[in-house]
Amino acid sequence: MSGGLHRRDLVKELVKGRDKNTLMLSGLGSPCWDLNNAGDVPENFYIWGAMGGAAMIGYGVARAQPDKRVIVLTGDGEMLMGMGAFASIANFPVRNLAIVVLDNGRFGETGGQKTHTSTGVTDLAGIAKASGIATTATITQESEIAKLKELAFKTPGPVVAVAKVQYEKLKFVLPANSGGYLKDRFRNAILGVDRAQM
Amino acid sequence: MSDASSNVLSPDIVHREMKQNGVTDVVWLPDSETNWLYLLMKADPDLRLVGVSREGHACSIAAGLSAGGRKPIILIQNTGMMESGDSIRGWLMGLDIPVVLMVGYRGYTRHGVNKDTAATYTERFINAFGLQYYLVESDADAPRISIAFKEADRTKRPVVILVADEFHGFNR
Repeated sequence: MSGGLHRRDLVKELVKGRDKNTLMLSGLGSPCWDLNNAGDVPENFYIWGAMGGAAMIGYGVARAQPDKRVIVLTGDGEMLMGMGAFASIANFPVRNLAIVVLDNGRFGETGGQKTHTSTGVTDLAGIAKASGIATTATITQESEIAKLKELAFKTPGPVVAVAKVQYEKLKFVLPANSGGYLKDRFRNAILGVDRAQM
Repeated sequence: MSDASSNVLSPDIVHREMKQNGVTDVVWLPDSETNWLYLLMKADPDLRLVGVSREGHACSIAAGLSAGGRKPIILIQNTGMMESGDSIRGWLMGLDIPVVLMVGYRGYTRHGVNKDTAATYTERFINAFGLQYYLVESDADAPRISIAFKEADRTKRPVVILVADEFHGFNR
């Protein structure tokens, strides 16, 4: 079931809460366009070279950078491909990681085919909770956006928050498409140029 | 090699090579070929281990760890490496991640007739991706591990070490 939230507005609102210690990673497709649309900074890591790994790459960054807050923006299609991530993260938990799933119940980049969350049968927050993720939530209304920001930025992780968003056909706002460039830019931002080149 | 002891790959030597090359994190999924190595790493307080539920996730976590400034190694089996194809392409190669994959070579027999399709396709798979790889069968081959690390760092690409100890794992 698609909720009533507008993903672009939601992500714009979410990034307002960030500072230099916030690292944001976005998964393949719409989450990348959403994050880039909200404002491109070097602390954004657009990981759109493959599908299914955004949560785990963010988790790796969180383990490497325990003093930073790491927020992963991903979609329901990508998260469904990598649900085992919840179990791994729960069993080796980190306190600085929040995963925000923008759930429109669709594979947005391939024509809008329905995903398994579209029927309401499959509940990603429920799966995360059953996997042992400490804090989970599903957000469906604008009045809950403040709660989502609290979960994303403040609540000790690991956090999985599913935001039910509308299925919308929106303009692509593409970031750079070189994975190596995007990773190096991200490393330079968080490690400094000298250490990043080691 | 006529000496029986020299035909064995010692966990201590592999572990030492990893330490010498600055490994900080081990991302792994159980592997019958390299379980002996896992047990040794688990006992090392300087190494941080994280287990995954599928091998493609090992590539994802390693990419994140590397992007964040750590030096991971991936410890998986050849079957899982093949399962990880798109993660190797999209994450390790696509993001220029200098990482070593230590891959248990299930089904490997140096002289015998191969009866395991996992072994049949292992090197074909690696070659299809154009990755450099090194076969490590015994202690005498251990210096290849450092060569693999240096090559990964120099090329900013994943490099594979095939742990082809036919006296461990399925062939034991």
